[in-house]
Amino acid sequence: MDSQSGWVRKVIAWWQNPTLSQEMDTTLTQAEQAYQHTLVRILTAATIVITPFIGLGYLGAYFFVVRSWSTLLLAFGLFSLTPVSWFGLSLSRRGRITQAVRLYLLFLLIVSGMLTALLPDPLVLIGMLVSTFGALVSFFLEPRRIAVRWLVIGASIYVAALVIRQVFHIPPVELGVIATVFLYVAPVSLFVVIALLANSTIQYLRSALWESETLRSRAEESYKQARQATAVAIEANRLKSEFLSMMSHELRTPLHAIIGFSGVMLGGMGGQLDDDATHMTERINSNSLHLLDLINNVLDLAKVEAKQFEAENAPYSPADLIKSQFERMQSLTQDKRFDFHCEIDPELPSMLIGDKDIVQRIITNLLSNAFKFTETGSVKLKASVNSDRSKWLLSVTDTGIGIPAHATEYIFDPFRQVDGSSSRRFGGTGLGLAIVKELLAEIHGSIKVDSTEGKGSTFTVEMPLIVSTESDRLEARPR
Amino acid sequence: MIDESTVKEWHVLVVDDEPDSLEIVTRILKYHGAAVDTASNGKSALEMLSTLTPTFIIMDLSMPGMDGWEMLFSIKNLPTMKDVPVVALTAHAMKGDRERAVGAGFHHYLTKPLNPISFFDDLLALFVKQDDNPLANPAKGDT
Repeated sequence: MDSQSGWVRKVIAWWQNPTLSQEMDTTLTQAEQAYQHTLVRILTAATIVITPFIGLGYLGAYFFVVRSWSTLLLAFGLFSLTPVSWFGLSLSRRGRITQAVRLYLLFLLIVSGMLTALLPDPLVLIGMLVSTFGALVSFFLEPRRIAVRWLVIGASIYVAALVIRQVFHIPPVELGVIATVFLYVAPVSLFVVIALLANSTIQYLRSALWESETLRSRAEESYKQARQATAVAIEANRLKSEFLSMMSHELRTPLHAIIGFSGVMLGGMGGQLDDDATHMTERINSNSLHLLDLINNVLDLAKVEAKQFEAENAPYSPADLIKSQFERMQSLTQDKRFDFHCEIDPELPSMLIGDKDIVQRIITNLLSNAFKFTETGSVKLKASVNSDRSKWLLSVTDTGIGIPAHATEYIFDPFRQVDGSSSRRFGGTGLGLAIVKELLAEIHGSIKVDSTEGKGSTFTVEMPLIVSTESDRLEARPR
Repeated sequence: MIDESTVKEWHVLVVDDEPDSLEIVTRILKYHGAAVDTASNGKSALEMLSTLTPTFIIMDLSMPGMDGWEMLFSIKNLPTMKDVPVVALTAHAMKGDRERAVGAGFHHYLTKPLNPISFFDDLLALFVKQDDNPLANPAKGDT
């Protein structure tokens, strides 16, 4: 019934005014068809089962109550509804629902016409006429034009029946009012109730479908917005990193000139300097080196954040690396008043697989951090292996100013120090620990800090322990 | 002990687009007695190489126009230049650049900013002949 999906569309358009998607339309049409199909099957099946009993009732009445030919005729009229219903059922199974329904209704009208002609009570007949028509237009959702045609057909049959009754003086079938109502009105009423139920079900289905469609489109829209926002954020982050990386490069070029020239002057390569000039040149040189360090840190962080940093997995000797870093950093402690030790657990395997550069940066950053905040006492770099040999640990313990408990949450955030005054007193960008944390994320490591304010801090880094085998070592040999 | 006297026999070509960088390298080399020629781009360096055979070449990797990588290719294609070592000098040391540079045929790889003292020490280690000098086994195993 193509006209019906059009009708449904109109109702929904009037009702909620949504724009139905093609998909929903299809679903709704399928639901409509399923509903009609089921309804037709119920009706025809009920007719197939019930009408023979009613027919038998009349047959019984013919034999035991009123032995008139009209009762017999009515009984066979009712029996005939069964094969007609059967045929309607098979039609509907083949998908020809409309034809099945029309055939069924036509026959129903003819039988009720027979009843009109044969039964004594006109009130019952009018009720049947109305209910049949009501069922027709309400529940099969026929277009009004066709419904009117049906009304005309039905009315003609009734009128014809009445005329036949008057002209031929047919002997009435006397069954009493209650039996009449039960036998003739009940099936039709049942039909109406079923149809009403089915109709309200389909209405509910429609609204549920519409609601789910609304929700779906809303969810889709939110998803789209979220995706756009993510894309914008990613792009902004990329631009930021790009900008930082470019700026760092641009800043480093003039710095290289400053460092280079001051180095040339300090090396006496640009003529002899007197003590004063040497001192000032040294300051220029060491400050510019410090500035370069800061810029390098910014670039590092930008790279790690932009995910341009790929950890490599190559064999290296952790002890050699730690020793060389220890020696390199020792030169920075010459004019400090604290001791600097290094301790390597003999359990630490001689060769590990991992990213040497990342480990080196982590050591450098942690040590720079410790040096920055320590005046007297000691700084200790320690490497060890955990009990189940799944991780290896690097710790840097200092006797510096320590970190207040509230600050341990954010000292790993970029550009954060314990408080704003730290950067004035101790220098630094507050990037070192952030870089360590980001680098550790690249190699599946972690960092924790244990600190007492005023006493000192211990930063402990945990990294996966992957021992290098002999074959790895052979492969790693310089080609 | 490294014998610095051979430095007097060095004739070095320095190629860099940044004049400051060029001057710093020149000053260091000249201070130690080497003869230095400079070029600020690949094209003029190649022109100079048609008449000159330096002891070694120090070259910036990122230059406008012809960059260090292309330069190395062009230099190695010159018949007279086959055995002249080329040292790369660059400001942005990306991970893997060192390996890439040595793999591409650079004799050695040095980074900016250069410390005049260690820079010269590196050159001495590379180019002054002695028994256990890495020159015999250039750059490899020295990364």
